[in-house]
Amino acid sequence: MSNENAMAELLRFYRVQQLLFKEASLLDAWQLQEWLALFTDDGSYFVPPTDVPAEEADPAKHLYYIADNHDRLTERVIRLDKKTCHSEYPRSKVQRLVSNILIDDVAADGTITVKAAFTVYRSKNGITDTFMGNYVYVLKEQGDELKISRKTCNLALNGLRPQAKISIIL
Amino acid sequence: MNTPYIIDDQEGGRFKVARNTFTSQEVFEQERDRIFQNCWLYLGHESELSKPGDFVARSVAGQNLLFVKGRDGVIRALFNVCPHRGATVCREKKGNSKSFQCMYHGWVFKNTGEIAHLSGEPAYEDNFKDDGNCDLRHVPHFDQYAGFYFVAFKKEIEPLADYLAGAKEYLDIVANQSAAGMEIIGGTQEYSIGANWKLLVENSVDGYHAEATHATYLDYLMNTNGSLTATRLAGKGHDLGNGHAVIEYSAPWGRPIAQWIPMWGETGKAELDRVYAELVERLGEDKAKQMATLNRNMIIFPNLVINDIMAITVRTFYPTAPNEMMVNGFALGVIDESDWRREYRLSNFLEFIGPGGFATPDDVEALEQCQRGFQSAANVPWNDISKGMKAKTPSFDDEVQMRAFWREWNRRMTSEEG
Repeated sequence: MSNENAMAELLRFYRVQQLLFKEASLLDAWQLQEWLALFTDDGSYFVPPTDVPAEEADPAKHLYYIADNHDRLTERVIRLDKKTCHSEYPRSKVQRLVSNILIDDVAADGTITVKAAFTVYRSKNGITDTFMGNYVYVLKEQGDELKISRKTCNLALNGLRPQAKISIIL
Repeated sequence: MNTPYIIDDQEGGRFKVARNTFTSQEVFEQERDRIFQNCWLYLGHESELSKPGDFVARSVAGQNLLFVKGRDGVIRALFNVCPHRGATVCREKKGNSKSFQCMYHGWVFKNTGEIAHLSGEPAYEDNFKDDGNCDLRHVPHFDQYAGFYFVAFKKEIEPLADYLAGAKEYLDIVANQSAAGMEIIGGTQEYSIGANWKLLVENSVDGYHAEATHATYLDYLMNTNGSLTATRLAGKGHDLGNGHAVIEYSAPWGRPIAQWIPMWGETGKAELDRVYAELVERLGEDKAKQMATLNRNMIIFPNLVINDIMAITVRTFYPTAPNEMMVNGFALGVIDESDWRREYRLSNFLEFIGPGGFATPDDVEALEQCQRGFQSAANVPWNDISKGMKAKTPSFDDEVQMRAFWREWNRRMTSEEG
């Protein structure tokens, strides 16, 4: 590999990593509107079921936990910012760890597919729930910025036991 | 417990439930014997087993069962327990198989439950397996109504059709939404809640809590054209006998059968018009209207909830401790519906129902906060379930449906025969 190509790949990886870490940081700080702005205007967000293989799961055919197009994702953020969102008011404390970032594919149009591992801790009422799994991102260039076009959170769990609910953004 | 479980003062219009019924270890253990061993319990839906060999391994009241269609086409409920030493035989959750092999000593069973291969057979007496003692055991009672399969463990129990009482009419409404039939859609919502199981019974048929608990969901409907703003929440509650109950009401949200909302556009309108016309033709105007425009939240005693609301959910749950339950939630859809309608059905389901919806997480919060509150049961001992007790026609947001459940629960928990 030429130095030039290596530098380009390194730069791409750096931009992807910065985006994922920034996203985690915004979610940990409950800056949800700022988080939503990381998505493209048609960006979407998915949490598939845990009893269907990730490669088969399809939100048009299977019952997911979450399948938000951009409109519903916007409404999710509006909801999470309200005091009447009882499950998250008072707010829980959250901490995300994002790791194992792998650039899986770069398409001719610049679309990047990224895989990463996550652990999300949520503490409330003296109970800490742990969510773990892997993210699959589809990232697109918009202007000078890399934006999230699609985020899928594949849970490495046998169901939400004992977490009960996904009342935060994963 | 020395106090009564419930106070049912019909004259005074007061109905109270003792909070320690939600916290007591003794009550939890008695429920296992008096409720979960003694009632018909939901196992699965016929659509989950379409081909011979299809199976689903499912835990019902803590017992591992195999819901399986044999190569003879017969659907059975077997204990998923090796007759030899007790190991769980099938450890996959679902699939298709001609046989099941126990991983411990290698016994193999046909998908009808009969022993197919007894490993080391020469060391056993001749004809050792001929009397059935090497076969997977059948659950004592197994029957279905409208495609919903139930099991019962008690030696003697009334027939399922009698047990279901008035709930049959409402199961028919769910089952007849298409001439082609209904199916469980792939993907299960599996979760636990840190609260007593009876709290979810109450919550699943509670028309009273919507405005307070689900304020953000109602805001969402207003924000998104996801509602018919002129359609009010209004309707009735019905005691269906044997502890079963339903609330039936109009609501502003869209229903894939067949209440259109502006968000679904002209394509959606044309399609739902066709769906409605088919219902009228097949079932008549009155039934079609009831099916299409009214919502139903139903509890089938003790722990099956079928809510035909913005989508249809089938939900069952079991206590693992006084303060913990395991929940399985499924989506039910019309077998031959268009891709468009299936997609909107699922989208509708997720906007409200389930661990990631805009409503269920707040229900979970409410239930868990109740369970915390019950820690003060010694000092603040009673729940109130009196709303609408003297009403001639109970409203959907009264509490007749919960009283129906609690009266049956109390009868079974206090009866002489146990």
